[in-house]
Amino acid sequence: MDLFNPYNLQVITFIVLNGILAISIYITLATGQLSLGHAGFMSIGAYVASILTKQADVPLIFALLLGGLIAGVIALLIGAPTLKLHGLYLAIATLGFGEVVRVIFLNMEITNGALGITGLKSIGSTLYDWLKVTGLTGDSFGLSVLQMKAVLTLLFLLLLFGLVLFLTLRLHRSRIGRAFEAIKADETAAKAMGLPVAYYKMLAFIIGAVLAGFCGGLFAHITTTITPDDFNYHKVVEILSFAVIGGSEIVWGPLFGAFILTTLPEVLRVLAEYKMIMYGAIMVLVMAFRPHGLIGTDTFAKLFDRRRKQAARQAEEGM
Amino acid sequence: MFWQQLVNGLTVGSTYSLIAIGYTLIFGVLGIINMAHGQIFIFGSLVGLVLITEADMPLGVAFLAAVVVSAILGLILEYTALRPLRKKNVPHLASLISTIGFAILVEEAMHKLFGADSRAVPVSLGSEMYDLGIVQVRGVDIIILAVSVVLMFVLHFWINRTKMGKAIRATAENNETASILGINTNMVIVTTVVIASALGGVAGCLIGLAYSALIPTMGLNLGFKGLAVLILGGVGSITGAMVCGIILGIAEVFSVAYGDSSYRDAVAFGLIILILLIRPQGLFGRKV
Amino acid sequence: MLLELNNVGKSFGGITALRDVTFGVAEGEIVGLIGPNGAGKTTIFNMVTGIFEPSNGHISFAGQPLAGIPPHKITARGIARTFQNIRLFGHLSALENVKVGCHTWTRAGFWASLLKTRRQREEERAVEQKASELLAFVGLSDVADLRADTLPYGQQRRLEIARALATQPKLLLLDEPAAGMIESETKELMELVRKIRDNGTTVLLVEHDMGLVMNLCDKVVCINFGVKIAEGTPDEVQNHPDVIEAYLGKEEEAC
Repeated sequence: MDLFNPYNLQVITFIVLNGILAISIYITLATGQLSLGHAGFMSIGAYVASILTKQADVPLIFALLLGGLIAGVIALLIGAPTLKLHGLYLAIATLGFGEVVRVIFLNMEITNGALGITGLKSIGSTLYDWLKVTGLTGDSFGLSVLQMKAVLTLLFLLLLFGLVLFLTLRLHRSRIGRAFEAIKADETAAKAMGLPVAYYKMLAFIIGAVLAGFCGGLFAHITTTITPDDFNYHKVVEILSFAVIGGSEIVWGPLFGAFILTTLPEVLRVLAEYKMIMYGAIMVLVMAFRPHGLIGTDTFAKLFDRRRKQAARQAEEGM
Repeated sequence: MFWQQLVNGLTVGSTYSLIAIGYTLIFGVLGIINMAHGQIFIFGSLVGLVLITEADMPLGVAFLAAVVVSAILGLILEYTALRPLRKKNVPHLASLISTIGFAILVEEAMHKLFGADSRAVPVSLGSEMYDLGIVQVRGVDIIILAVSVVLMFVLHFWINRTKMGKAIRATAENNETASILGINTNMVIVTTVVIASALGGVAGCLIGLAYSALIPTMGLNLGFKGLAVLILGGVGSITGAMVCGIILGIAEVFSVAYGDSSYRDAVAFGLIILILLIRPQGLFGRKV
Repeated sequence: MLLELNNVGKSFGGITALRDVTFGVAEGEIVGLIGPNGAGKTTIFNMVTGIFEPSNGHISFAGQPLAGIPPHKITARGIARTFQNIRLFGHLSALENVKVGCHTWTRAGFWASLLKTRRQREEERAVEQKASELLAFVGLSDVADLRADTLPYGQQRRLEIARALATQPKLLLLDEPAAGMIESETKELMELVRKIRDNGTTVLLVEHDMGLVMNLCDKVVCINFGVKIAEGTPDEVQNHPDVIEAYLGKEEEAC
């Protein structure tokens, strides 16, 4: 396998992008809320960022941030009434939200309807232009322009992913993270411990939406083309599967899910055609056999435990 | 024009009602939303349609096949995606996710078996027009309305009067108490899922007749409409499902006739968001 | 009085669960709330902690009315509770459970947590220390890193108390703290409750174990069918004819 093959690089880029998406669904799920509106938020971010870079020449990074921010504002608006809703209602309401957003984008002029927006300047091209300012080109690294762009895109995504993961882990180990966990485990007990449950649920919902919107912008500027159908129900299912297969107890679960589900169809070419079947089967099977997902809080503990026991046994044998 | 649209709305709406009753029945006894409902009955209806086009079966046989196949898929759903989750203490939303998974499987199966394209219904049934003074009605519209209304009455009677119907209501009220009282709740659940899916099968056939075509993706779209009706009517309310199905049908037809046709599919969810704001338990729901 | 209930009543859809109950809990007391099952004891707890609003009457805490204040703010004002059917955050460790309880007196918000400001780090250290102290206080230091739902029953009860204490309450409500405990555990529990009181926290507890109530409480309130039938020292209540009838009557039925 040629590592610097632009196609392979793009596959890895998508794994990283899906990693950020997985974090976004994880944070919402961390408070026990199942949102089926993540594709909707993603599309908002994607369209806002695309329109900004294409029509208004806004610098890429600002466009991406604004896309995420506006997705967050919309989450605030629809979250206020819907977050009072319990489990199933929230799921249906957010599913409905996603569909309404899709229909609106299908019919708006500025989004160019079903044809979508094409010809966006890719992240790779933007970064390459910057690089050229410093006097470096692909040749300086012995790579073609196409390869260089793909490498730059991947590096950019890795950097963002690292940053998001770093901040998520920080949040997880803070007062806020503990509040999320407590609310997920038992809302009544969380209230009795003095936690403003509604506020934290809203916060988690908004963080999830901002990240999803941000991913939408990234997605648009990697593929350079978006249509409303990129963010349909199948996208919802895809994002949800990350958390389902990996589990949503700790962030490594959804990340593992995103990695496996994005890699498998690429590695096993046969699977590509049956990608959706794979998602469906995984959802049914995992729920039946391991409803908390494959990776839980105890996974690592067990691993360490085994190692510790092994060490203890060896120590005993040594004596 | 107005009356004509009203009749169209009634026809479309009555099929939505049948779909939503399926959701509400299952929610009643299991407390879950079956996200695979739409895909299940469109699969059944497509089997019926293929029997007509490929095997020259008469309409009645095809209709029966559609209903039976839907019911069987409902059974498979129960045994693979629902029952395994009832045994243990699983998270609240697990069953929602497993039915989403099942829906994907059924949808993909449809794509592989029947192709993704629209399939025309070659039946010229009820294309003649009847003039009823202020409105002209297609024969097919009358059939759809008649079948839906009759089925709803039968269901109403069955739920309220028969032993099985009473067992279903008891299980919906309180699963544990019902099983203490000697009701075989597993049997009740199987019956409910089968009936809900079969009703969907009927709705799918009627919709096929109304639009003269069926597409695999209709499962998702119609499923969404049924969900919207479910929330509008109040989750678990059969009356709510019946009435609000009709309301949604009429709202959609009028939004197309007097508004923008491209927003038709957003009407359902627009109504959901509205109802959740003003009356979250739904029009006919009990406050929890 | 630290906590005062004035003619408090509660009905659920026409069924009266509690009628005109009046009593008070003075600072530094251990007060026992007794009564047969379904008498309305947990309903009182749920109203004091803001889960239900009383249908009539007033509840005040430290001189302030509690009407209309949401549960989490009531906790912040200094009322903490445990639950009859233990409600720990099962997948969190024992230590994390107690840390959650420290929420009310800490301030670090979203940005401070992301940026890990100096203040946030200091606060986290304080939380860590406080939580460890509380675990030691209830005797659970050894199991600090174990998942709460893997702990044995008696330890879960004590962990719930530690978690409630982490909110730094003025008043601690214990809902059947000795339920399911063996005798030696109950004894330890009584010691623990006394220590809690001696550290300055007032305690109101619901309990069926009469030995514990009579030994531990300064004052006992007895409720039957939603009505207060007796209030006084353990001896007074124990010998009150209505109390004897309420309990004996129940026992006759049981036989």
